[in-house]
Amino acid sequence: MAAIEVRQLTKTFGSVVAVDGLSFEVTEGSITGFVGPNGSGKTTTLRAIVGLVFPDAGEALVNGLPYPQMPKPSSEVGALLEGNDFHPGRSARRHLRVLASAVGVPRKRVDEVLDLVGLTEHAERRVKGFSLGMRQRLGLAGALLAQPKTLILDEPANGLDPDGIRWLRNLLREHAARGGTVLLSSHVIAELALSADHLVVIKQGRLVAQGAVAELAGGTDHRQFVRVRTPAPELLLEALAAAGIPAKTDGENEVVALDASPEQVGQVVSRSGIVVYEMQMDRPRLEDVILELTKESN
Amino acid sequence: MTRLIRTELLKLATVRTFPGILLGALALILVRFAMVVISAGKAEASPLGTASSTRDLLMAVGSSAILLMVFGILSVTAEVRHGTIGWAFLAVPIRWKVLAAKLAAVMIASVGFLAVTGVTVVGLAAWVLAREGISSSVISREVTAAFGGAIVGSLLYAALGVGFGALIRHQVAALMIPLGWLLVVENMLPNFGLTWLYVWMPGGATAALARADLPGLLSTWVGGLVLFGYAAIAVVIGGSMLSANDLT
Repeated sequence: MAAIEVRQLTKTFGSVVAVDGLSFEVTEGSITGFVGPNGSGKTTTLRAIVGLVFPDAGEALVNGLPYPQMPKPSSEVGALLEGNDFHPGRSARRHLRVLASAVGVPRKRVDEVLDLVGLTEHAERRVKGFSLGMRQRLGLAGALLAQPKTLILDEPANGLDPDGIRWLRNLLREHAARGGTVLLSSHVIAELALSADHLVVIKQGRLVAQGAVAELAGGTDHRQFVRVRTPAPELLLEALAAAGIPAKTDGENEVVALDASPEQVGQVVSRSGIVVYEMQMDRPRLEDVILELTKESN
Repeated sequence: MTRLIRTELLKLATVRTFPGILLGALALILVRFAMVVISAGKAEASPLGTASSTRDLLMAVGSSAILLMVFGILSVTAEVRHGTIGWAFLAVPIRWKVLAAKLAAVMIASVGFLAVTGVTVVGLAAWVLAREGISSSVISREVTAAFGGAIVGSLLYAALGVGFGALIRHQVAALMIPLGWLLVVENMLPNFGLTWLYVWMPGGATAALARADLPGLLSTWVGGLVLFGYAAIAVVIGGSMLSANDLT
């Protein structure tokens, strides 16, 4: 079942089309990465899902309802969005107490989430003294306050140190393991490859790909390739072409054989007697796939 | 709604700005009161014990009106400026409810403030008059009505501030435009022979409410209604804009 459904969402700001007929679904109990270059409409889409931006056309539903129509939205959706900030003069605990009062959760939950995000010892400090990472943790505490089943997070790893990123990954994994749903945008594709189950890739406000991470990482035009270091790249290119294996040069002394196994390339090398210094199989990295999907010429 | 009003009161109480504004307003009232006492009987000022000076003593409470408007403005614009408005609208997506709770909280805080300062000013006036051996009977019905008008006017200024805050939202502009209008533009209107226009402006309506000694003012009730009208229009238009605009 889809926890989040975005249907034909369109939003323009003046003459700029931020989101252009975007449709995708986020499966319940999964972590879905939301990826795209800067200005591709990720933040606008996330804000439209939670009712902070009004779409020109289309709709966004969470658990079958538009966010503003939910009886207790914060109990269903927790959001950490770029631009939602803190009063610098309020302490972390006081910020969360204000939120707890607004969403109707008991005060003791404030101390629970402070502990959960590792800010207990900084609870009485004013937010103006917080680092970016601490602010992100406080934002996450706000999103988790009413124990929502669905989390919508815009660049949650921003400012987190490596320990913090691992902590966030585990937090999201545990949330999904309990049946929770996470939609998170990130520029750190390597991190998404580790934490996300699915990806939604957009460019210029439009969907360019959607699917399981493993599927997307391997499911491009070239599922695998063999990289060969040789002093005779031109000869090798000809030999591979004669064997029906597409290939290209990469640098001065490297040839990349596309969609071929090391055995196939090895036989061509053996038959042609070309000197080879090194040969290794490689698979496209998720980052390369995303870059290819969203590059300007696409 | 009670929970939302409590939340808005908590917001006002958990940062230094808002108690600071109220303390500033209290200081302004006390300074004005002290100046009336010190200047009584000197130059053109009436001596203590006259209806005019008694009125001036009690009207010190009206000095807080502008700061209460600032209080109202900042209750909205500070949230926009610091980006906390997003959290508020995530918790309560019906934005009108947030603004209504904010208005209620600012009114509650202002009523509390005016109750305390009103009692303080009346107490101080009674003490000053007693010290001078003047009977408190100089606090006539007229003076009492003007005092009440100043309190109601100050409250309406706080509401006007909430409306302006929702209408303009950019903090500096939301402060400069109404302050510039009230303190500069409006006061110049009579100098250009536009007294007929001035009396219908917020400052003129406030003067009518406080029964100021100026020619051509509206009656107290009409002045009060005009000021209420300005506050209501600002809140309704501001609320509509707040509800209709994207929060990017």
